[in-house]
Amino acid sequence: MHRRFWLVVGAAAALLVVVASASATTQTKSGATLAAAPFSQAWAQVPRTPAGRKASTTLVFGMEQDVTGFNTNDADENALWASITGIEPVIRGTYIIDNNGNYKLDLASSVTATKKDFTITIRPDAYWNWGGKKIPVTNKDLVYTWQQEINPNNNVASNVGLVNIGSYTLKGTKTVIFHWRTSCPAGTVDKGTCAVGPFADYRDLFAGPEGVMPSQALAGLDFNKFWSDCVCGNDGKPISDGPFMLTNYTRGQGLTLKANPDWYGTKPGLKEIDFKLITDTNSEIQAMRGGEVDAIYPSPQTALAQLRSQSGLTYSSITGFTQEHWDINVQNPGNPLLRNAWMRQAIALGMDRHSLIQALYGQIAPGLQPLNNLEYEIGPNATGANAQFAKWSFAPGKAIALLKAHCTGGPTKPTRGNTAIWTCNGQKAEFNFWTTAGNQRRQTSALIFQQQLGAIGIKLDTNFEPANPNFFGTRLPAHNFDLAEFAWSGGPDPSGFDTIYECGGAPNYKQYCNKQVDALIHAGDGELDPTKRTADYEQAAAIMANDVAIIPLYSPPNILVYKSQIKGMNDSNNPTLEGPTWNAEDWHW
Amino acid sequence: MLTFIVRRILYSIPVLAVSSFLSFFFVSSAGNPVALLRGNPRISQNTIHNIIVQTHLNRSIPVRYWYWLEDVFTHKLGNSLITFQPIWPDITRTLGHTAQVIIISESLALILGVAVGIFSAIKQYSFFDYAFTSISFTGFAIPVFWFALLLQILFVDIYLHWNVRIFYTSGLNSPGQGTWSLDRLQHIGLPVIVLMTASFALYSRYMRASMLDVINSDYVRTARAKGVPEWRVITRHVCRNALIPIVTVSALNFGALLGGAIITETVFQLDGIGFYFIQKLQASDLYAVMAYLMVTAVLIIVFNLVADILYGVLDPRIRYD
Repeated sequence: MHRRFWLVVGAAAALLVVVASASATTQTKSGATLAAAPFSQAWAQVPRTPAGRKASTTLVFGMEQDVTGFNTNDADENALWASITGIEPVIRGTYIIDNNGNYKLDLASSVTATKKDFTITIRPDAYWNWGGKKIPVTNKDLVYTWQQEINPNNNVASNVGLVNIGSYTLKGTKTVIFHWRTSCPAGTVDKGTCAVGPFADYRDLFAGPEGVMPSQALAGLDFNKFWSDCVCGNDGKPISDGPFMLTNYTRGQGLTLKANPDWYGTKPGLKEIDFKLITDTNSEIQAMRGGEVDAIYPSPQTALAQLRSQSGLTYSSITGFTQEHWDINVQNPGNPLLRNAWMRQAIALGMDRHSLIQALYGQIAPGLQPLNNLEYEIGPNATGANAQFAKWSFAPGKAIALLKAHCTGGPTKPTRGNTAIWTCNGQKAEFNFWTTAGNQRRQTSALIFQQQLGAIGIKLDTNFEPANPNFFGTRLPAHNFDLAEFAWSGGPDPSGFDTIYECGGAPNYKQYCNKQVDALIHAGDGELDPTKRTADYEQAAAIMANDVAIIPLYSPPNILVYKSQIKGMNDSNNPTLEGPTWNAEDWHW
Repeated sequence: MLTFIVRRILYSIPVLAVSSFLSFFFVSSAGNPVALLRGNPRISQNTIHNIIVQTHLNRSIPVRYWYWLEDVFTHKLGNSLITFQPIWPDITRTLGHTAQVIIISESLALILGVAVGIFSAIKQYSFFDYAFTSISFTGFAIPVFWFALLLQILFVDIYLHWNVRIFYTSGLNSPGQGTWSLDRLQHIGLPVIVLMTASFALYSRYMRASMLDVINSDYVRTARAKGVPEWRVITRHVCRNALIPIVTVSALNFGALLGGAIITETVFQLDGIGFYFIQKLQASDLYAVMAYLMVTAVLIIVFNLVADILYGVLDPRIRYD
């Protein structure tokens, strides 16, 4: 027993030593030419205190989600944090969208579009820094990007607009003229692999946050596989035409950006930006409070309220471009009552969106307003005279009057706790409501609206299921719901929502169809005059608001918290997919 | 003994095969990589079709299982269906980080748990015994996520009030320090405390019960009757025999924890295997999730075997054929 006991202890100690020493180093990818250096090696050089980081012009940014890769043109890698960390400050596009949603020329010195062509001229001082080599950005990079995006074998996130381009002409090394298609082979338009005519949202075609790809550096690489853990060329060395270079990334830990000396814009005020992965929002908040990070860009949660009052921190909250809304299924297998506009209008009038927003975001985004335009989320296109949906703002009395005109058996006035349900055309006003499980906001939303609609005699049966695979994978595509709450990510240009409202559009789960709206959307898509284009979309929005095609709720706020000592960040809170790093070169202590 | 070990290993192979198929079936049913893509209104339908074909979503589950098996053996544990990158480097990296935290927390839990268990048994029904019994039950009852958050808030408040950094709240390393340093210990300190709490409760209760069982044995009474000093009775006769169940329980516990302290790793942002699993599950990265499940299954089987072997080694009364 004595000998056996010490044998066991010795074996355990040996195991301890072996495992502990094996775990002491972070593994690097072996044999892969596209690996960047491990994050931990760069991380070790970064000063541990805010004062130290200030002295060495380094900033630590909390990163809320890890990335599956940095090729944001790839559907599997098209994520916000991939764009924020690895693309926006590293790979530039023809335009950049600022924090007010305005398009500004960036990599391009000029971009023009006519009904026949689309011409881009790259600025003369734009260079790729490829592992220290300085290579000019040329028109071949634009052509390469286009070819990759229209290749049917590539898993592109979106090639809307790019499939309108049929051919190109190179002029010199900096200018390319893309020619719009005048015809398409049979069957390709329906598949989405071809489209005819000019694409009015041409500014987004090669803009950030996807950017223009380096043709020379990526030669020979598979689109579906490159940039999975670096932004680098085919030799594994980092490449950039932006203010920073992605010098290392380790999955599960973070990444490092270092200033690019060949960048054509304002010299970066920081030498280095480190993104430290902290996925849990509560941990993010504690890290910010404790000075472990200098800035965070968290998902909106009530717990963030404690950062609003902490001294030494600047808290910024703006409206985003996400459209949280209710889809109303107006065809089978949805409830037939929803096919009546008066029922949809009554539902909208019975919902107090203001009180919901106050409950969800009152502490962290005071002043957030309901969405009242079905095509635009922020700015003058979405407010004032263009707030077409505002006429359906909370008015339960009007809702009851509408229902009374078509139904019987309901309450005579809005009554909390009411149990009398309207019967309309022999059918009870009872609807199945579906949304994603595990989402506190949507749970709150469902409860609040269930009560409010119950007060006017409409019964809501609330149901929750996992987003994946149930809600987005089967329920919505099968149109198996009456009412459903979820969100679409939009942008400053409304064309991103076209397929949501078009008759037969793949994501048009509610099966809304209005030929007049379709005509206006298509006209807007091809209208190069921005004023006429906006007018087309606003007219479409007005019709859809009248039809109550959806019930827009709100756009969740974008929140940016940073140390007040950091300068240049006051404009960084950008509601588009550009994210807060759109002006990272302006940041400095 | 050797026959026993070989037999156990051979029995494990069909167990692994069946569990791999069942895991594959349930994980495939629980996630669909295409579902989340449909949340993007601009997603190309051609891309959705490509992904369905590449990930074999248009095939039956047994066929897809076969594709996975093929990938496991041609590329160590396979390549991710989403990133197309090898899974093995991620598994070894994250397992190493988890092992580091688990080894420290289990070692501390064992040392403290055994010591407290011994003393509680010797001083049964004393204030010490009651106090540590209460602490143990609190340790069992306390929710891990809540305790973790509480510790984070506590140590951040300490830092804000007194400008003293005792522990960090997230990550494995902090800027300016190497991998093996006081800084690394400061980072993993809180997760170690969280994991240690439940394990300490378990070991102290086990040790106490085991000690009480042995301390009243005939041979212990004989030793006392022969005039052996009490400290020698406890250390040489009682403790050694009482430790046998603890060794086996700790081996099983170690194996289970190595599968990933998922909540702890997520809250403290440790790049461990539990956190890796959650990330891959949320992304519906089927092959990566399967790799995790297989690694965990192997660890559980191995540590079960270790526990059985240790039991046989430590207790001469136990012999395996």
